Amino acid sequence: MISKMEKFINLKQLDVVKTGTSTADGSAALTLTDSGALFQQSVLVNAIVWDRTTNASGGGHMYLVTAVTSNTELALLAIGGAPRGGGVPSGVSYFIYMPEYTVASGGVTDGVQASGTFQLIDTAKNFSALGVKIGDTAKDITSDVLTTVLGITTTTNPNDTLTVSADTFLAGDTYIIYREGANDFDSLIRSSDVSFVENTGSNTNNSELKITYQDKSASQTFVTYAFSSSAVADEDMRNGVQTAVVASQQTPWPNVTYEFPGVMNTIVASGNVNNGWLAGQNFFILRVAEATL
Amino acid sequence: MEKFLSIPVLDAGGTLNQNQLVSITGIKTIGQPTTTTASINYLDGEVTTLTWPTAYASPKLKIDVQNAVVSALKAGWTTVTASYLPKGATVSSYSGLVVNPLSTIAIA
Repeated sequence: MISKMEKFINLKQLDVVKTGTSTADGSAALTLTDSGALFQQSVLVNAIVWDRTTNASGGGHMYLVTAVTSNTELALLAIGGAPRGGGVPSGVSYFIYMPEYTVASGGVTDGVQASGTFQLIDTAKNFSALGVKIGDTAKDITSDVLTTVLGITTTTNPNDTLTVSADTFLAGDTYIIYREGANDFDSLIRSSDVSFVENTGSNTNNSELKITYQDKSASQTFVTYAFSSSAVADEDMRNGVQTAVVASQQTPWPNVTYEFPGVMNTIVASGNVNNGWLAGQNFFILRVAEATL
Repeated sequence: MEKFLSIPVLDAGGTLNQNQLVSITGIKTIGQPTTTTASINYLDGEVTTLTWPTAYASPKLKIDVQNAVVSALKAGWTTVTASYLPKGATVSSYSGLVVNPLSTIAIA
């Protein structure tokens, strides 16, 4: 009896932390504007913005957030292979990912700290339920001060108060609470029965892989990724997935999943733009799907 | 080797539930198209859709099913079926019945 094992590669896929529709034309200004976004409470620098509408047939346009200018505007840097965008036009759906930090909560404080304590109070929040942890960073955006979360207590509603390490939060201050580490999750793709791994031909900015199974065009999985350099025709991700397919097949049962180790972009050169952030060498998985974008 | 998840799902009567087998052989990916559904995508293009009675933000259902599939595939070959209690479902200590089973399981 010939029996084939079921094997998978475990990709760390970035979660979509925010979606919306742009409300002003930033296509010549390298900006994203959304009048209802509350960016300061939910997005940090080096987030990835994906405009899937503009240049949709070629994979859309991807950007790094270089500054959270206001609650309604982000300053952007175009990333990835050509053609890169000039900013997000008006009326376009966007998706935001966090590759460096995980945001637990954000909002506006509405309470005054008890005498002799350093507190952040938001009676509309249950910080325990939101997953805020001791050691998280609580940033007072209004005063531009970083503090550390030391405990969770109750003022008015259950778990609506954080004890923090510095005296900064006044009623009405905007805040964001986050920790280091990508906001991602495990996403399995099959590594058995793989026939072919290639960059999707129609994806002109080289941000999507196509994995074909059993030599059938009807049996494919598509992986979309972001990378920060502007190197043209970068196929390091394809090579990395191919290597992972082989490695996963080499691991013995009961190792059903193989942890994708990540890929380094080997062809970043000083001549490429956007090679400053993480040296332009990191790739981030944004989407795993059964169909191309 | 053929393997299956045994999943409690609401029966045709709409009040009780029974277990239904879902194949975990030949899976390409597992997704979460909506807040109440997880999709098991197979090599042949078929898709089994599991529907929950309660909404969960993505990717909670996807991860729940992924974990169940991996756990079942790691089990020895004589364990052909692995019981999967879907996220949010519980077993009543009083009656032994499953509370909050899946609403439907469908393949297309």
